[in-house]
Amino acid sequence: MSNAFKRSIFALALMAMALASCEPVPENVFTRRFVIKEGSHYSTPRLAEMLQSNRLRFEATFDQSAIYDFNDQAMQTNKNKLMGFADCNSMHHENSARFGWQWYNNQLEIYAYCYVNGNRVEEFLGTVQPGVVNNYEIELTADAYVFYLNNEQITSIGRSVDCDKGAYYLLYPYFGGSLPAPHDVTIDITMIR
Amino acid sequence: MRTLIVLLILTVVSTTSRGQHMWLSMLSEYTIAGPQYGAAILMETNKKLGAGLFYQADIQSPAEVKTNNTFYGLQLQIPLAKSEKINFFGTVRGGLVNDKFAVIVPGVETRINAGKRLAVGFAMSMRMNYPSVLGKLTYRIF
Repeated sequence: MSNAFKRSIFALALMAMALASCEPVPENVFTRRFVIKEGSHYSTPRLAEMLQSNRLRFEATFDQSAIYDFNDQAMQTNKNKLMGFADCNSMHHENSARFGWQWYNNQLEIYAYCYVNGNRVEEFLGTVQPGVVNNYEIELTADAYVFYLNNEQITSIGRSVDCDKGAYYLLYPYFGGSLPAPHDVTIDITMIR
Repeated sequence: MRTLIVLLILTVVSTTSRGQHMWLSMLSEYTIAGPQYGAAILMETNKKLGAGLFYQADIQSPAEVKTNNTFYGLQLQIPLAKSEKINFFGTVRGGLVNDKFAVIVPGVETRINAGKRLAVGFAMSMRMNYPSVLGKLTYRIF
């Protein structure tokens, strides 16, 4: 083997080791723990992924960090985002479907949170308990986003996109609304394939 | 989207017009969603730059989803390290899943020559934000 080849192999091995050493070790390899740091809107890890079927299905578990109090009703009812996707070749403030959540009235409320042609549509879906695993699903049909919570169809929100083939990027946990997270917020999400 | 497809086709054509080898591969990829099987054809220049087409799908559809997650499209490779017996490539696969959802899959591939025309390949990619492992048996047509 030539020296140049050996040097290339050495460089590749170093790159691989550097990348591998940054990976956290989760309890369940299929579960990702998203953390929204105090003062932030976005969660980490920051991921880029595309939707790959007509159903987005996942399990999510909030913990006690989902409880917060802004002492301001308007701010308290700002919807935080759990997960969803932007519709075909659209930006998510044009056409998208997500689950939203808020701590309000001493309960963790789950919402359907969509943009349809730039107009925001919100619908209450139900409440969940911190520390409990719940099942979430959005089905993409030709003319609607169908929301399921714990395998029960709750609502259907009209879709207005005439594109079919294209990019549908996934949207991950986000705190806000207007205000950032008042403390670290942790959400465990397991994708169901 | 059409512009992107035209650009990709132009890239493939410009690469393959100087191609020196054509590789035909049978492949199996294990993703977080399960195994997929398929085939690929690749044109490769003397500098081992490559472009080609691939098709892969689940053998058994998950009953709840009722789709076999077909994934087809264009594949590009650039050499990272080269030798007579073993080569390392950076790869990008881009295409449609389930005839609808556009995805781009980056990866790295090792190809070991096992004869004059036969080679085996091992690749790691990021599918659905999780690592996937791909193995392939490759035959050099010319």
